[in-house]
This record gives sequence, structure tokens and C-alpha cells, in this order.
Amino acid sequence: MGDYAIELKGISKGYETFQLKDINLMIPRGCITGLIGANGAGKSTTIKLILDMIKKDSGEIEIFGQCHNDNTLKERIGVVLDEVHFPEVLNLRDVNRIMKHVYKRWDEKMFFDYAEQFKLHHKKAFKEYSRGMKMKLGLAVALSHGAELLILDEATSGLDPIIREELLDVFMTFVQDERHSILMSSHIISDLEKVCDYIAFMHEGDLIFFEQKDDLIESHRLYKCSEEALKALPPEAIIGYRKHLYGVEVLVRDHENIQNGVVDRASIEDIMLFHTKEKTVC
Amino acid sequence: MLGLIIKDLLNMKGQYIIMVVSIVIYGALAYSGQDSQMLGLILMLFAIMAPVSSMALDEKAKWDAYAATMPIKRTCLATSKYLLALGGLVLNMSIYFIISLLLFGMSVEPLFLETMGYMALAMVVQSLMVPITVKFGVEKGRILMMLSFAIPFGAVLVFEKLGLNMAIGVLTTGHYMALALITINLWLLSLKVSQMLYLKKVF
Amino acid sequence: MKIHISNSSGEPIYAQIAVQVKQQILNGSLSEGDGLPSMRLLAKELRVSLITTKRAYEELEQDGFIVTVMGKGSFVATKNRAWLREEHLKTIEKLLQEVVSSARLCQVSEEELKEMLELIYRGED
Repeated sequence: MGDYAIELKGISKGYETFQLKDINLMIPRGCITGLIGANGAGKSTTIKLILDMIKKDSGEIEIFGQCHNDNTLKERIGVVLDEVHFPEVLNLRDVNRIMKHVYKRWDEKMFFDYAEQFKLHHKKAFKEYSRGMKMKLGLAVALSHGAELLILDEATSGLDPIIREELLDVFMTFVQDERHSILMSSHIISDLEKVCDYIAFMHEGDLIFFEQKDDLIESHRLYKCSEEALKALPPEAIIGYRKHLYGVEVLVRDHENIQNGVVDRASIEDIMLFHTKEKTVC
Repeated sequence: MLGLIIKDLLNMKGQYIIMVVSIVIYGALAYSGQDSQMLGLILMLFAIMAPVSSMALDEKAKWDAYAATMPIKRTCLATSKYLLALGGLVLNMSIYFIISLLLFGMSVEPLFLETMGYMALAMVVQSLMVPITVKFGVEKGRILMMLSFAIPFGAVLVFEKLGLNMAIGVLTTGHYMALALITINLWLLSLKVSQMLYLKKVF
Repeated sequence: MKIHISNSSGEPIYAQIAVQVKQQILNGSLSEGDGLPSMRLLAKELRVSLITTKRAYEELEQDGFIVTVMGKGSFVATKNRAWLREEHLKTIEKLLQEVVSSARLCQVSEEELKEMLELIYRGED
């Protein structure tokens, strides 16, 4: 039993066009950790490495303090990927019949309770499911076998705000049990902003930061000011800036109020975007 | 493993009726022509197709990637296909045996040998088709599948041309035993190969 | 217990929660021994990070307003009248500071202030 749900130490994975470089990430237990980044930043690769769906080039991964390629760990992990994969002729009852024999702690009653809550029809074939329903089915499966860790890869993409809110509520209920943890990647940052305790930001194969969400929001500010004011700022406080025709927007960290300019709170999305912008002022 | 087999069986939901109807039709045709081979061939074909069509359905649903997130051993992904294949084959051949016995009034021993012949052929074809499909996927494997269908048909034609009835041959029991052993070993080798392929698979 | 969070007020959310709970304890809406929702439940209901609610509760405990018992939850602390009076005095002092600053800004004299205070105080009776 460790303090961390997932530990990634020195993880590297290389492809022709993309490299995941020396990632060190400790996902805490009992929390919701969000993984953000642009498409192609390495989020899905990281998740697939954790799940042993692809092989790492170097480094170690531990889940619940055990080596990650122990297949029995998957009893304790619920996974929803960005596309939910069920054969199209199967219906809810078929899924139950299958999963009963896949997971040792499959809870049939819980599964059907979730089906009820998510309004999933028992006999409807999977091919007739909308995207939202597919996600809900995937989630129902993930939550019905005694999992302590939920891993979601872009699970809420393509869903309308109403369904997303429903799902976020389910996630928050899941972590009411302090042994439960969630790792969710999304590029819908507003979702993560609501529910996450920690945020990890990946960009072009690197882990740019991993921090408590509250700290991030408290320590960053978005200034709208003139170019002169930008130049007057200490360079180490500047995360990134954007010049436009009528002024400058600059994201700063751990810096007191600027004299001539507007100060705004920075959203997680702002923080992510400005990290990829120009940093040095010339 | 059981979960995988159940999934495959449930997956073929829509196909059972077609198969039953086909068997009835071919059975009737065979009966009218007093030639049990038609029925034997169609039953063998269905058995051969079972693992590959289940893999086609898996591919379509991207099931293997999802299965990789479950506590299912990679090797089981292969083994379940082979068990399905074997189960289907035994079932079909039993149906053939019983129907031939009842409808065509064939004698037991030659019928048994004929049925075993069909089974062996099917197993050989399966041994080739399954690893190819695992490695190359269903689309590419389909071409090879078409080619490998030629084997049973071709074999039957060759036997007839040579005047060898499949049921009564000049082969001795010893020969039959050897052929059976070779077939089984080939099949097991194919299983091992498929298991290795699945272990190396990335998603 | 009532908590209303503002996302745009500039005050950190944990501080807002702590202040509101404090106020409710001081004005009697929350009584001694009342159970508070668990940090996790509060986080879920308010849709904030549980680290936020944890911090708020930690601050409340540090300042003596609540007590957290492992395995049981958090409860409003038992406090005597003297302590409550202390807390109220702190609030009054803070408010008076603001009053004095405002007065100085528009040059209201000490006497004028005292008059206003008397009027208001007696007006309440």
C-alpha cells in the first residue's frame, strides 16, 4: 500500500515522429488528477504505457506500489478510453454476462444500478448507442468491478455539457471513498478545472508541470498591459506573453500586482496556453 | 478466458439462424443427391470460418485494445479463439456424423474416418489462417483465407480424381494415426505462434 | 450549513469557506457539537477540489473553531463565552479599522464619528 496510485519514474518512449522524454510523475491516492495537453502531447501514450498496452523504452511504472505489468492489477483498475469498444450486436445484458467471467469482483447489481442511473436500455444493441450512451456504458463497467483506480482517456470528449456534468458528478462520488483515485486526461479543460485536485500538463512529450490545482490558480495572474510594462517585469516571473496590436497579455507567476494594467485570474486553460507562448522579452 | 468465449458466442447471435438454415438446405440437397459430402463440406466450412469471423468482429469493435485493459492474459486472447474453433469443429462434425448415420445410412467405421478426415483438414486450415489473421488483420488475411479454402476443395477433388474414396483408403491404421498426430501437433504449434503474436502486440 | 462560493471575488476559495463557516459559528447558526460535512462531501457538493476543503478545515481547526476526529468527522468546537467574545471583538476591531480609514479619506473628524456611533448604537435599542 503506497501513497501513490501510480508512479512513473524516468519513463521514455520513442516513436518516429514523437518522443516521450524522461517522464517522472506521481499520481496521489484519494484524489482526482487531471492530465492536460494538446492533441499529440503524449497524454494517451502515457496512459497506454501505464496500462501496459504499449511497452516503455526505459524507466519504471508502479501501480499501487506494484510493478505495472502484473495483469491482476487490472482487477483494481477501471478504464474508459476515448472510444468505448464493444462488439456492436451485444446489449447491456450480454456485457454483464461477459464481464461476470472477466472480473473476480464483478458486481451485477451495481452494474444494473448504474445502467438505471444512466438510463441505459437493457436490450438495445450497442450499435444503436449514441456516443454519450457508449461512454456511460464504459463507465458503468469500469465502476462495477471493485476498482480503486479509474483511468479515463478523453472519456468526456464529444459529449454535451449536460452529460459531462452528470459524469463529473459520478467521478466526484467515486472519490468520496478516500482509497479511490482518478487519473483523467482531457482537452476539455473546464471539466478538469471543476473537479481536479492536481493538474499535470504535458507538451510535446515533456511534463511541463504537475501541481495542485488551487496553487496553480492562486499563484498565476494574467496581466493585460503595455509593452513597456511587460519589459519592466522580472523575467523569471513571466511564463509567456502574447503581443497584440493594442497591448500585451502576459501570464505571470508569484508576482505582485502590476502598476499600469488589468489583472485577471488565470484559468487553467490560460496557464496551459501561455506555457506554449513566447517567454523571453526582447 | 470464459468471458472471451462467451463474448464470441454472443457475438455470433445473428449468424446462428443463417447457419442452421444453410445446414438444412445443404442437408436437403445432399439427401436428394445421396451425396453426403456437400453437407460435410458446408459444416466444415462453418467451423473453419468461426475463429476468423469472430476476429473480424473483434477488429471492427477494436475489442483487443479494450481487452488489454482487463485482467485477461494476452495468451488467453489466442487460446479462446482456438477453443472456439475446436468446439465449433467438434460440434459440426458430430452433427455431420449423426445426420449421415441416420439419413444416409452409412456404416460407422468408414463414416468415422471420413468425419475425422474433414476434421483434420479443417484443423490444418485453421492452423494456417488464425496466426495469419492475428498478425496481418482480417482484411489482408482474407485473401489468404480465400486461398486456403482451396485446400479442402482441392483435396476432395484430388482424392476423387485419384479414385480414392475418402472413407476407404489404402492407408493403414498406422498411417491414420500418424496423420492425426501431425494434424494435432500442427494445430498446437499454431496455437503457440498465435499466443506469441498476441504477447508482442501493441495497441 | 450554508456556503456560497464566488469564483470571481479574488479571495481564495478555501478562505471563503473558512470565513463563512466561522461567521456561522459566531452568529449561532452552527452550534457547539454540530457535525460538519466531510471534506470530501463538501468538495463534491461545492464542485471544488478536496484539497481546498481540506485546507479550509485545517485553518478552522487551527483557529480553534472546529475539531476533526479521525474516523468520525469534523465538529464545531466547544467554546466558552469568553472565547466567543474574543472572536467577536476581533471582527469589530477589523470593521472599526475600515470605518476609521473611510472617515480619514473624506476627513470626517473623531467627534463626528463618535456622534454617529452613539446615534446608531442607541437607535438599536
